[in-house]
Amino acid sequence: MQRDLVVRAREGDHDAFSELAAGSIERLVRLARLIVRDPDRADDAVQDALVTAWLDLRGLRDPDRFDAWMHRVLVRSCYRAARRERRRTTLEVPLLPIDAETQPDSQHSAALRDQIDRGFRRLPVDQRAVLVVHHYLGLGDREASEILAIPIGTVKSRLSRANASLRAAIEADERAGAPQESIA
Amino acid sequence: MTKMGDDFDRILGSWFEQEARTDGAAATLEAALDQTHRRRPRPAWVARLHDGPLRASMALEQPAVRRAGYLVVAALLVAAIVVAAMFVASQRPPRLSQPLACVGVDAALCGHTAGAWSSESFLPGLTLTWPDDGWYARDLPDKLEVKTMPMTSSVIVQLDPLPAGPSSDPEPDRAGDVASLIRWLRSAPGAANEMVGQRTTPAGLSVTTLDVKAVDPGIPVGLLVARANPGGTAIVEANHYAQRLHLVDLGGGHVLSILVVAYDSDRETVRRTEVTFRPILDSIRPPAWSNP
Repeated sequence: MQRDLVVRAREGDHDAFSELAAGSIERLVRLARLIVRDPDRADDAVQDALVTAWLDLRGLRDPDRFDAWMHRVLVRSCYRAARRERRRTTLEVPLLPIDAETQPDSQHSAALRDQIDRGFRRLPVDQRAVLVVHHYLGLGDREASEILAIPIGTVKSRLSRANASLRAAIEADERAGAPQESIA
Repeated sequence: MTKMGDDFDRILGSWFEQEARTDGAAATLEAALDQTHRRRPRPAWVARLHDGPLRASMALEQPAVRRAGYLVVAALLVAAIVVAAMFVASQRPPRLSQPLACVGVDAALCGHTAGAWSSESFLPGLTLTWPDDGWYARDLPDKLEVKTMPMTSSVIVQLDPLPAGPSSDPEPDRAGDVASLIRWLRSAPGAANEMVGQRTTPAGLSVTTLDVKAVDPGIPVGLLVARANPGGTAIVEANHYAQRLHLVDLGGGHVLSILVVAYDSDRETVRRTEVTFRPILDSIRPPAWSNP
């Protein structure tokens, strides 16, 4: 079904492309927001990726590889969005409602989420991307290397650095005492 | 943090699941499709320049280098094709179209395929080269008329014009060389003109170009008549529609007047017609003037 849509879209059938895009949009938005960490710029990246996909779809030789190809196009758009982000960075940290009922478990998990969020934001975008591709999409090194367009060895080393950096960032966050509740 | 240890992957995966939100995705989709709807996909080879094949060995760290490599290869290929085409063209004898089957047939324009073509009626031995298929020509004793689609314009080629004179009466005693024709056109009463320029064609012919029109759009003014028929109607007339006149010094004491006419009165039509016609103009080879 998807293959047929890709073939038709590749031949310039915009309706087929619309259907493909509609089937992928939520996944693409999730990925972009995880990598870019700014909803507006992530949405811009998705939009940019879809336009690029439409323009360049004829370059995709194997219709069965559409998803991987689309992910790669999206990752590139996210990199561009992140580069723009660097020029005018503002740190946006989601706040919990102050009147929210706080249970020890929810406090604990909220604190953990905050720690990961702060740590994750501090990572360079290429490390965020490799973590998302590996941990969220659950892809192996080979598939990740295709989507990120880097050799398998680089995926491994970048993933290792990203994991270490995130752990270090969270530990540093913990040592700084913010938040006061430890994840332990 | 220590408790995170081995659970790191699971915790991170869980955090991703919680963080991955899709609110507003429909609006993003709509905005993207609105853009794609108005644009056409790139050809495959162009698309592949933007995005390499899906394989692991392509490093993202080197996109500029990779793109530059593709561009260099593409440029070399184009250069090789151009050189090969020029070589083949130089080796191939000019292709002559079939003799005009409809010469002299009233109002008939004959289609011509690309290649060199020699006039038989208007000026035997005059050679033009059609750069492309789809040209139509009428080879008449007193003029050569060429058109291409769409038929909103015409190119009329006449030989040896003379000034028509202020009263539209022919004045055959006036000189018919390019310089005197230009002087006359610039002073002709009731006609406005604008000099476009002078140049030499690759074949070595001198071309002077000017735009002509009537001062009063309702009053056409005869400007040039044919030496062969000085009492006849003007072969170039300032009128309400856009026209461009090329005066070509053919050598042997002969002058071609080439008039590009926009029947839709639009200067842009003249410009487009001239751009299309220019290769033909530049290909003109006059006959040998053994009997000028």
